[in-house]
Amino acid sequence: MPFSLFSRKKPTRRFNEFYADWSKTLTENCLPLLRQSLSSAASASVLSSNVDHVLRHLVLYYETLDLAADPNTVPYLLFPSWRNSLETPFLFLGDIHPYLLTNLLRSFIDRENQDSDDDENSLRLIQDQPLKIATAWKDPSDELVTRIDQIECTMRLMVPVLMDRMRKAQRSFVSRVSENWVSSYQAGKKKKTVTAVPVSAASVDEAAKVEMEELVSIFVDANRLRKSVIMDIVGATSEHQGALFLEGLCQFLVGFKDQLLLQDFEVVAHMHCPIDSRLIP
Amino acid sequence: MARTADMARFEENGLEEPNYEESVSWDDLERDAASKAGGSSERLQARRPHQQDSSRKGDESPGELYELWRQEQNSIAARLDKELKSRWELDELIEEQLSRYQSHYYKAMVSTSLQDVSNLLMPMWLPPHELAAVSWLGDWRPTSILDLLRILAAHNPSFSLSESSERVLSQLLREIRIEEAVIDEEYAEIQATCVLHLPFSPLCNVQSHEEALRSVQKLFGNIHKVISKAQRLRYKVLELVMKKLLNQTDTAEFVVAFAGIQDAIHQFGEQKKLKKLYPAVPLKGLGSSS
Repeated sequence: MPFSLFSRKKPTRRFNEFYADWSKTLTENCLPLLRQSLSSAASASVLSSNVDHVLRHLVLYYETLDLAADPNTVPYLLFPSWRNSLETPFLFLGDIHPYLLTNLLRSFIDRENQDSDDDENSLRLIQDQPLKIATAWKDPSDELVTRIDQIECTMRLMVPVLMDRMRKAQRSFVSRVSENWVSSYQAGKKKKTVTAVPVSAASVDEAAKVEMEELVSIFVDANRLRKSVIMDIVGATSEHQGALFLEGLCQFLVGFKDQLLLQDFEVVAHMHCPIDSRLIP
Repeated sequence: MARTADMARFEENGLEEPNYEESVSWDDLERDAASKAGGSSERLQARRPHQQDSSRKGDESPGELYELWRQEQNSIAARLDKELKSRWELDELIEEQLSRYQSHYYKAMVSTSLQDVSNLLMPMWLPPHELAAVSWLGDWRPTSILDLLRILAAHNPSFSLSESSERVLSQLLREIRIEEAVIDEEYAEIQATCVLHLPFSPLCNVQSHEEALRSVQKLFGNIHKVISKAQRLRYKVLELVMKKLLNQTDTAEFVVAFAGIQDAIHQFGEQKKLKKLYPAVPLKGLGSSS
């Protein structure tokens, strides 16, 4: 059984507890560390080791997700109750959408290489950074541009496959349960019993077992994709670019956890009521 | 003889009606017919012993035979009346259920409250196993609803889906599959570009708190639009199936099956939830990278 190895023999803890700690480390350790090494005149080796450290922290999260996923637990990971209501609508197979990662990277580059009108604006944003960092995205190398294209290309092949597998898994589960239900209903009608024989729990379980195994595989593949895209981006960019990318990503991930902001959104949403009644037919 | 055979067939057909739960005996119907026939009821009651003993039929006068013929006609009429009434009731029930689907899938969401949007996508009241097993933007996939219909048509002998209806069904499956994919794309686009618009994003250059709140509201409004599209597609499928594709009896069978299967899956989810097998990770060696 999938759970016996870890949950029975070795001391374990709930994934949500791990996640809370992981998130806290991201906020209190990783993000400040990156900011510090980006804004001060930190040496190249310090920057490099900090980038490494943060990258390891992100990778650890995806590897831990994989460890936690089995046919019994994957539903909790796909619909994580430990994520707040600001986050859940943005979850794709339990975490950030992989396209988001290259969108973040591309936007960094685009913002720095737009028409000169915007130069003032961008310089204002990063004026407290050393020049090397401030100009990190200016005129990206052809190599980097090609590499981003490649990463995006792989992703655009894989994401539709993941969604397709999800669709197939769910549809064949419903089909299986339906077949069982219809045949036991038929059998019940032949015996002229007034109420139909409800489909046995065992037969739903059986169909679900097949589906949940596939969901674990889809989930693990989705995390592998996210993890490898992050690693590929850091691998393809320069030290400074990589540090800026990770800083941006961490800032984004941490942003979801801002409780004050979250409360304000709720208050405003309730005050301003309908988003638009014309949306509701 | 021919008439008796017709009646027998009628009885069989009657029993095949799904909501026609009790089987009605001739005697019940005769009593029923007699009471409905009003003034003539006494006479009918008096005739009863003769009618029950068919061997004596030959002895009866033409007047008596005519009475018997009328009596039989009355009971058939009573049966038909009952059938028609139950059909009418069936129609009402189907209409009621369809409007329940409509109000469920067009459920008005009064605010863009984050909790409301989140609850539509990940309803807290549904067990996670049920969600993982079937949920697409918070509910059944429209294609799964059509899969169920396909299976009913294939496995249920009383289902009378015509050849042309079956062709319509396969066509519909293809079309709905595409509409599902379009909605998937729209949703993915929002999820992939939220990094440009959420106020705490490194790329989002919001100036004020109000602006930040507005940008989140806008995003959630867009997500709500996508969810509404998914809901409307579900209802569209149900409406097409129940109003256009299936006859009355098959529609009733479909609703019974849909409800029964949803219930079976929900029960499965609840049972899994009770087992409390939450995701866990080894305590040592993980979670402390700092």
